[in-house]
Amino acid sequence: MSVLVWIDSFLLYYYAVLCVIYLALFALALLDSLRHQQWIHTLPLDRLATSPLAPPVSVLVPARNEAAGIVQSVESLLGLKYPDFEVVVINDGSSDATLKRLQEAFGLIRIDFSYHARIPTARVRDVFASPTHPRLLVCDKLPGGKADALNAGLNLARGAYFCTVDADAVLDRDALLRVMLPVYNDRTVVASGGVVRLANGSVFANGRLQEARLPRSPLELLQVVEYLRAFLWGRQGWSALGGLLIISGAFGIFRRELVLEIGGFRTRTVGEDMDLVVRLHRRLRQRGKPYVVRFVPDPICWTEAPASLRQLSCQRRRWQQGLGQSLWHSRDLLFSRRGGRIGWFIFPYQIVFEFFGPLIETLGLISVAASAALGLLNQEYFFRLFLFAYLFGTFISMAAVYLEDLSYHRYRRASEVARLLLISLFDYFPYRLLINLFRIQGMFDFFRQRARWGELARRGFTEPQGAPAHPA
Amino acid sequence: MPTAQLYLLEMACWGLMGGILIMMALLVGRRWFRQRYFRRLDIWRQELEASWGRWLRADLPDVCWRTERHRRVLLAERAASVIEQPGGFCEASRHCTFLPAEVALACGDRGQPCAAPAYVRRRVEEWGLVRQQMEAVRAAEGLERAREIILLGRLRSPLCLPLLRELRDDPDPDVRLAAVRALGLLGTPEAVAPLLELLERAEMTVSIPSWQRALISCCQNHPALLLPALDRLSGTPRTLLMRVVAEVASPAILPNLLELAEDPDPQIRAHVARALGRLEGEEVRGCLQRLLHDRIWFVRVRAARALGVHGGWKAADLLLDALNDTGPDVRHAAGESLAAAPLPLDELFEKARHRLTPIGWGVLLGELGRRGLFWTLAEQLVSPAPAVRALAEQWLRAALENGARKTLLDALFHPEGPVADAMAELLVQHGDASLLPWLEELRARAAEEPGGLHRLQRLEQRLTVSASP
Repeated sequence: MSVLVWIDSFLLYYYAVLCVIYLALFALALLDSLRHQQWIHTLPLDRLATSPLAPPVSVLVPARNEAAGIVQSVESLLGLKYPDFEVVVINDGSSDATLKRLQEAFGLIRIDFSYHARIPTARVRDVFASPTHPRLLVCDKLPGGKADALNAGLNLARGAYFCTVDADAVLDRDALLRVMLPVYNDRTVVASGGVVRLANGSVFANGRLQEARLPRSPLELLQVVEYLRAFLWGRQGWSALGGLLIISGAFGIFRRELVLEIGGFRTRTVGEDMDLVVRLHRRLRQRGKPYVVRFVPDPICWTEAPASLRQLSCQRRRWQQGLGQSLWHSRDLLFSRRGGRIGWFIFPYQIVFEFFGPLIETLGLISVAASAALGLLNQEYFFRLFLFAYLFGTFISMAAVYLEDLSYHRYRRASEVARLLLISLFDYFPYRLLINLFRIQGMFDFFRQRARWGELARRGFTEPQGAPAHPA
Repeated sequence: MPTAQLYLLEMACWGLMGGILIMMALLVGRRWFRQRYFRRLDIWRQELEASWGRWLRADLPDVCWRTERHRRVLLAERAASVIEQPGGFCEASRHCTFLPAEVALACGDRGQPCAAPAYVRRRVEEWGLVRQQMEAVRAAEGLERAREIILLGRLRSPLCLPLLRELRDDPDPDVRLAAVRALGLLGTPEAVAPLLELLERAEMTVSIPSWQRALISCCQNHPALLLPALDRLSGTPRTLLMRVVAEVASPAILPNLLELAEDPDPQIRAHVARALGRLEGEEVRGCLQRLLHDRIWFVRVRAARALGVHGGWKAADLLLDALNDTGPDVRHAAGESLAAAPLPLDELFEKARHRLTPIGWGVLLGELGRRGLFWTLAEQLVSPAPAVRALAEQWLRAALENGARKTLLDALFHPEGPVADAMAELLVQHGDASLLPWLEELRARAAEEPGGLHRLQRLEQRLTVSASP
């Protein structure tokens, strides 16, 4: 009995600390977002788009069985507004028609390319170029995983910076320019990440977003709110605090020489994006030189979200496993002498609240419910505690929607904002509970060292979306 | 359970519910306000557009732009859109139609300097808009002030130079940066001095690329203005300034550039190479040749790129040597430069044959293939002009002899059947049996292409026959 009471007290303190952190992050994100909006209006973006001083960027697109949307993705990338960039697509041993679609769409021809492997990768079979699109290079290699494909892309890249973009993603036309702004203004910026938003339901044509709309399925709608919360609240808040530990692999830029120096992407992890950022932090902290990892809230990358529970479970288990692997690999950063706020605050936060958080929350929920059932906890107190937790969770989700409407305003229709607010009522319960269960499974996958990628059935961007999902 | 905790929890719940309600009210209120604001802005913009001709004829309509911020900003933006007309040429007649007849007479032909920007700039000063904008800059704070400063810069009036110089040293970093950008927007030689003064400080107080861009915009036609500072400075500030010189270099400063090519700082030498890419002449090429053998790799990369801009056989000779460089980036830069130059392929291969290492060859062929050159040549195999056909055949043979197998075999799958057949015929005539293992790899792809398998089998048979003793 006393154990239950002890667990309840621990949970209460744990939850109180989490609430304070969340509120602080919200305040930081709100201020940073408003400031960014004002700052961006002072910038002559059109002039920057033709500036000779802009550093060259290689856009790396790892693709494995992405036949459904690869052409639209590459088209959207080739139309990016940036003075000096190249697009390197890496076909990671696709078993579908990914390469064929690219060949047909861009008239690819095989070239006798001298491939200099600074990072060892699975064998590169061929390199293709497009006479009609001189910025495009396609590399066909044996399968080796996403990290391996990115490493092959790094070997081919020539830009001083590289940008990773998922093959199922579509970027806004000025997204690259906007994500490079921190680099342009401050050369100590070593990495910068943009926002990933869900394309489900939105209308695309010719590889461009025509209108941002919401999906119909509640599961996808809940993910929209979750992404808003994660990016506009979480990452923006951490970035303002100078403690960003993750830049989404779907859309982020990195300094190439630095990444080559640390050996590129680690292939023995399923969360190569976070792993890279944590390793960059570790290396630069050790070096003791000033550096910045930034999050920019307005360059948008649109991507597809899992439409079924099975796919969602797969994705979240992988993310949780990747989180564990990244933290474990760079564990010497924890409370290290040169760790700074990363080692002394952000890293412990990631371990306690992000990695073990789902387990603690779920066990806590069971424990409090058991205490109430056994009469160890006042029924009224139990009810109020749960009401508070629910309201706080809902407040967070609604605040993320508010942040979106306040700053970026991508969902123009009032009815869509109303739908987002309405679905936020279900975000804490039952959605978060469900996600926590998947994440707990991911934790166990990590401890059992069971790597699983899983594949998301792509629908592509050609047709106006919004129809119910048809996962394969 | 203590009542205090229950009470606290209850209060927290009420607080959260209140917070949610307030947030929703703010969201709805803001949407309503935004809608109303943009509607009004649109009306004002239409009013301004309708009366723009009267504005320019000095017949000032009775609008309260002096007291209403939004109207002043609209007016300043409208004026700036004319003043900033790219290149100052009369490309958009929409600007000139509003001008008074006597001014518009000087204007009108496409390609002629447009009278509108100068006229509007003068009018803007006469209206007092520049003074008003300067007042607004003084009154505003934070990022709002930065926005006003940028708008002031866009009006390109020399009247604002003292104010911008003062703001350049403001304690607020956003204001400092905006002042530097505004100085750049002025784009006049007078704005160079305040920008250069920033370099003399112990620490650069604004974003370096923004500062460089401002300087480039001011010195576009006056690069010599930068040279005294370049002599005076040392270390990083000098490198930063040299980057600007590289972008605005002109023949007038060639002697200085040649001198700087001997600088002990490799960054300076690299920027000199970049600058020389914009100039021409024997002296320039000689200097680039020296820089192509620099001991620092990035200087060599820059020199290779600059030679690519020059083009021609003299540059190609130097670039062919650079293809054997120990640095992969230098090799790629040289390859790219060679591929970009329109040179006869057979002569290029002839020159390259005895000079290139296998790695150098790989780079050259890769870059030529990337440009689509071999593919274009394959298409010329079916040209009706015999001379073009013969030349294409000659060049393709040269490429084949020098290892461009992948690209040329790929032409067997050209979407146009006659081109693919012509390519197959060329490969047969070439009769190189070492191609046979490569053909094996293409079997799967050939099966998918119409006529591909037949073409491949025929080629295989004929190559096998030619290979047998």
